[in-house]
Amino acid sequence: MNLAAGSNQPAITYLNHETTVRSWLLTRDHKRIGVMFLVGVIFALLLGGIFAMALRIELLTPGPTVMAPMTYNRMFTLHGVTMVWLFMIPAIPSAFGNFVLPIMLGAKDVAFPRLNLASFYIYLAGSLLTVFGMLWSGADTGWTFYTPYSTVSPTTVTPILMGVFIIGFSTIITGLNFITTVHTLRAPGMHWTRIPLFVWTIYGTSVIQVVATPVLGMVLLLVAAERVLGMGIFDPSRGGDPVLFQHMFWFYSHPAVYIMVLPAMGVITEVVCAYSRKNIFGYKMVAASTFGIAFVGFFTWGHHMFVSGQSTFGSGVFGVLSMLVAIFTAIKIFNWVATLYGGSIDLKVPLLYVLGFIFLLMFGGMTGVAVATTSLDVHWHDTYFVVAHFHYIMVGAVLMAFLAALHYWWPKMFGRLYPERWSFLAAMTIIFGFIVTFLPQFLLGNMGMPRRYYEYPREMQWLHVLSTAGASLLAFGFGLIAIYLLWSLRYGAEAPVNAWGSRGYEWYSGSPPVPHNFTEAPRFEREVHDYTVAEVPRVY
Amino acid sequence: MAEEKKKSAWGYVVVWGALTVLTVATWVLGTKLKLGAFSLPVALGLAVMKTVLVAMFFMHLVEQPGARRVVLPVSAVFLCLLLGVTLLEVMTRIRMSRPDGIEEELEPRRPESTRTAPPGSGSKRLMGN
Ligand code: HEM
Ligand SMILES: [Cu+2]
Repeated sequence: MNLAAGSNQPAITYLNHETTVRSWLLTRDHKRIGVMFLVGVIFALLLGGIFAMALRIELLTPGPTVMAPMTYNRMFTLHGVTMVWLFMIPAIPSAFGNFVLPIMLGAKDVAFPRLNLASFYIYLAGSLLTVFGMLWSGADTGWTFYTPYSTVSPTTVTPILMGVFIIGFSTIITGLNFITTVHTLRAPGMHWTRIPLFVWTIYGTSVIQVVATPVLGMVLLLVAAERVLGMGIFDPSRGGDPVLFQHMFWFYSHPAVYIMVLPAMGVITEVVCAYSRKNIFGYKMVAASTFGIAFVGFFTWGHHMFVSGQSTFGSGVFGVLSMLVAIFTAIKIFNWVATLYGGSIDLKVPLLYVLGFIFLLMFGGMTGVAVATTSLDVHWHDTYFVVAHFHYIMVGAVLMAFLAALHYWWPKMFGRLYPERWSFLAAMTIIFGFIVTFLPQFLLGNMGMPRRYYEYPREMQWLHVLSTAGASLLAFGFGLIAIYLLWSLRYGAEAPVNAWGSRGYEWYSGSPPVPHNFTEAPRFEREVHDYTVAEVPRVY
Repeated sequence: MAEEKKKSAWGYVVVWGALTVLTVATWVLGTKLKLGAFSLPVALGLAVMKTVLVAMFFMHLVEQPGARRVVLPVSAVFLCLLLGVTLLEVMTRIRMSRPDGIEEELEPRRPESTRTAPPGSGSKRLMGN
């Protein structure tokens, strides 16, 4: 292949073959679209992070600290809305999925490249509308928009509802695109049992995105209609049923937590294989458990409604069904550990994040089973215990996987290496900072600290201070990562074609890849992550 | 659509006719005949028939091969899941937390002190406070 002088990187890559702004904004290259999504979600993460720090600073003292109560209500809504809708949902599938999925399949691009670009602009439009609504006056309903309050709140809920509604279309389009790509664009030799497990998780996620997101769209539209037109769908004083809102909302939003966590599990699988130099233990079980989680995830939504007036019978059924998810999750955890066992382990930063992921996912999952037990949840519902539970999964697990993906694929995406020592320091800071932030929140919740409260009794202060201290560590860690990654883009050492000696299929193309991923049609003659051969795969 | 052969439009006209008949039937059954408790299931049944016709013929689902045929049944299953489980939950709720249960709250024979609605709010009003 065509190499630049004195380097093993392709001379012409997707980054340098055209460099005008226009060539980026109108690109149909899945890799560039993936990079644009990455920039978008990282910006959302930054915004959400600033709101989070504001919340933690307010909670340093039991009384008022730096803001008014109403500002606090707006702040936690801004934080939740940004983190869930603008960051978590698109983060791994739209950014990394877009970049590596077609390469892993040996395809030149996704099935519908124009639609892919449209998806990005729809995401951008929805996000801008949401941010505009937030800056204009900001909602105070929380990211869940529970009725009847959200239909009467004096703040500007409607633009934010519509913004999230629009982002939903981006989710659906991207999901459809990936499903079609997996069905139609696999390179010769790629049977169903050779598809990389990251692709399987993206596929499972896409099915959820396509099936569940329309329900979210409907329910948001109904709330907007109730606010604007005064229809009586959820408001009991107009003959509506507020619990119906929760049914529809969680019918989407529980599966949505798997939209977040399944791609994360896919990243973990790739990284575990690459740094333990072994193919995954139990490929078929890991692939099947992905679909087990995706499927069972649709039968558990009522565990968010135990104290909402839902029937006792309903709560019982949903409680039992929720426990099933733990079985499929456990299958994955056992398989990752079994893969690590006896492997030739190379403890690079992505693997460090994986270890953090496994540990924190167990905490999050086990407390999930605990809060799915009706009798316990009556005590814990709407307390910091639940806040800690879902942050363990969303930040402790999904964000760890996001960072693992960022560090694992960084040389692939940009052809640069980052400084290893700094990245280790940042990873340790983040894992430690995370635990200090959220472990106290379990204790606070158990003591009865309600979520979304501005004030609290004095005896809870030391735990809140601890939590704020941890959050500051987290912020420091993220700052560090931002600095050394930006630094590496310009000054980092040039990365070898296969920086980690990985056998994953995405490394069959150059780093950074050429504009159409491969200079000749790739052939996948070995199993994915086959480390029985000594030499790294050739680059097509 | 390279292999597309000339198709006559008559099939679509027939489907359109069927849709019109079903629409008229919905109107007649809903306004002229009093079906009582059956009116909702009948109306929903007719709506489902119309949806299937539109999806099958105007959206060309009948012509699709292979895996694409799975789309409609899968969507139907998930819709049934959402509606079925939600209805099951409402049916097994205690009366008080059902949308119609508030009438019990307003019943005149209940002692005033146990009502949540302020006295004097008419029975038309579904919730007093
Ligand atoms: C073993 C699997 C899991 C079980 C059994 C479980 C169970 C639960 C239960 C019962 C609640 C409601 C608690 C309450 O409101 O009182 C809850 C809340 C929550 N869980 Fe999980 N969970 C599991 C996994 C996950 C995963 C994988 C995620 C995200 C990636 C997640 C995210 C959330 C969120 C966001 C909430 C809070 C929603 C809110 O009220 O704001 N959970 N979980
Ligand atoms: Cu849930």
